Amino acid sequence: MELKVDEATRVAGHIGVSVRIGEGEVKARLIQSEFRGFELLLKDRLLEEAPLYTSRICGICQVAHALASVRAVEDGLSISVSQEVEKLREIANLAGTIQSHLLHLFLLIAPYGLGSEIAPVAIQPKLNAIVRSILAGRDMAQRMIADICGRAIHPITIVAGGFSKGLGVEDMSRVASVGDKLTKNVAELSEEMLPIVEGEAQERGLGLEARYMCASDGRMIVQDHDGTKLLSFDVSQYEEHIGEVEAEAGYGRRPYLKALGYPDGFIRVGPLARLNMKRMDGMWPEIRHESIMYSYARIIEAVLASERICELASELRGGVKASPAEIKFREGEGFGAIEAPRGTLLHRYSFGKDGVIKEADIITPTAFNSPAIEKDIERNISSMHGAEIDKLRDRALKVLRDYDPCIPCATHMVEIIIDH
Amino acid sequence: MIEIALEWLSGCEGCEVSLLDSLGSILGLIERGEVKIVYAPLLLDVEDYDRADIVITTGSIRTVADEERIKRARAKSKHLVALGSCACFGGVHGLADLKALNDKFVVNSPGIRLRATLEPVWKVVRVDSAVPGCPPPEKQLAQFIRNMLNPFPKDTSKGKKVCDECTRRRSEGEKKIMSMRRDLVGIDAERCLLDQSVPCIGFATSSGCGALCPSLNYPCHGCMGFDENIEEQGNGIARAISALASILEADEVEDALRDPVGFFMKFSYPSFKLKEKKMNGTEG
Repeated sequence: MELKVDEATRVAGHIGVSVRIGEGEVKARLIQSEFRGFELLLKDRLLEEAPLYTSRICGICQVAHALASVRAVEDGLSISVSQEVEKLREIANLAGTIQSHLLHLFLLIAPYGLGSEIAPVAIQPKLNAIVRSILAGRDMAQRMIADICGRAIHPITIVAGGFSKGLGVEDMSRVASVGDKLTKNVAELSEEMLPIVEGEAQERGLGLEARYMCASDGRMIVQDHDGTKLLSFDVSQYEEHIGEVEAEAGYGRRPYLKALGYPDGFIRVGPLARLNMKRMDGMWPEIRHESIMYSYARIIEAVLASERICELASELRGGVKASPAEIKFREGEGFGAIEAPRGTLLHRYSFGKDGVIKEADIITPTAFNSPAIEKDIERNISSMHGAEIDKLRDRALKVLRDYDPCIPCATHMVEIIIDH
Repeated sequence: MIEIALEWLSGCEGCEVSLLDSLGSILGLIERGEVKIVYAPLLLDVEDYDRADIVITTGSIRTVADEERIKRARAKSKHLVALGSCACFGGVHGLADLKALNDKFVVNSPGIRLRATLEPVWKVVRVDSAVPGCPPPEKQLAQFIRNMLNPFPKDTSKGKKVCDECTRRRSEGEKKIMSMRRDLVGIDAERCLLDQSVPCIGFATSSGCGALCPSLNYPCHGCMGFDENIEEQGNGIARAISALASILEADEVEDALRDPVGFFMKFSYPSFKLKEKKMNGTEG
């Protein structure tokens, strides 16, 4: 029997799911039916413009792409940035994470936990208080990004060395005051949402034990399912540790840990991975493997991110000066890694002495998560032996949406067929 | 009651999120019962629709599935809107065709087919109105939403360029530029960027954004397109090239600009490709 969804709704981008259910075996395949070709188009483009191009990979995690990109440019040209710039970039990335997480909560998973009145926002326009609050929080986060980067979608001011336009005392005080309101907003939301999500987790009760990875200060850290640290390496060594195979269908690649081989070496990234690696008394006391806990983690992360924004805004209350760097081109290679809303994001560019890009490699969180999503769907479907097809379909889509895959981001492929 | 469908083709979804950022004004229309969204894969579990008064398309036509989708959408709609620079001009990812046409490609996915070239929407179906920008500026988007109930009056800013909206001070007399600079160190915050040899293309770019990028000390890179008529981008680009050539000291544009294609066609390469003619709707 094959369960097939050609175009999943409430997922960012065009993706299909195919689940083949045979005797004692379930095979799930994600079919990414999009191709963007950023690694191709970056060839022969100006290195300093890479952030401008790559933010267009995604209109949801545009800030993370621009930041991973500018880091790769700075790394390749040995351009250092000040503490102030790092902090302001961190605020932008955290605000980006909050708006993305709230978008997911509103569009993708909310209908499960909050009742059917939410997804069909267009059909039943009378929004309930929680949804209004989610939208208000998103709006604040977007405004904060706009204050820092010139606009919320496709940041303008992120350039090698820092920002093309600085923020004055008044600008920073606006960021701080929006930060305060945002903190209150997401704290209230978390009180409403966490019990609902926890309830759903209890109901489904399935976890996929996996390796977790995140980027921290230019290093990649991999942890086993039980919390044992497995690997830590500099981002410039990622190709030694991370292999990739092509997806069986669709335009996508499947990264894995070379040490464990494919498919055993699949990795999970994103909010669940970050909190499983961080673990905090009270908020996230133990390692959790259920995919629904991605949503729980998003809410916790929104709370932590808003608090951190307030901290940083207070440290930067004196303002941040514009600080575009002087650029001296030379032949080389640069790496940039960042924790994007959906997980670890890597950009690598090699370039000639004229500062023109020769080759680009971009691995996105959705690429990292894809093998785990397939495995998780298989595991869920296997456990529902004998269930009606509608229920199986519904579960497959729920697991898919838990991960918040972003298909326009999953640009990572080099070989395609052109249909003439 | 006006029924609206949102059709997304290949793109980054920034335009959808922009619409979401303007959700307040859209919700107002919905709450008053003036507008109903009948199809929007990002928002609704609805998998198809019969007809819509307005279809808003975002993204460009990269896959055969995109092409089929836009043709179906055209047949179902009274009024078709191209929203954002991908739908209007092809968008940034159209530049991948520069490589795709030359490089060798290998089979990856038998089930999903890419078109030989990426196209803006108007090359495949008739477009009734266009809202360019990457993403469309807030003001333009708000105006578009307000006008949804009316039959889309023509833009009044016809012929205006980003330079006309820019508050930076231009130098008197004739400009002459030897070579464009590659960084922004020590840029005078008040003076025209192009006067300071920063590769700003505001002189050729249609207005509507309020010269946002130059106001942030960042050069305009042309996301609003070079002609209000989206079908005339090719001519707009040609005008931009000759306008720049006239102020360059260098003999060749390539001497002053390391990446002329990137400078002139970041968002519009698919609208410029010379080999292209307007498709009759049946070509693949």
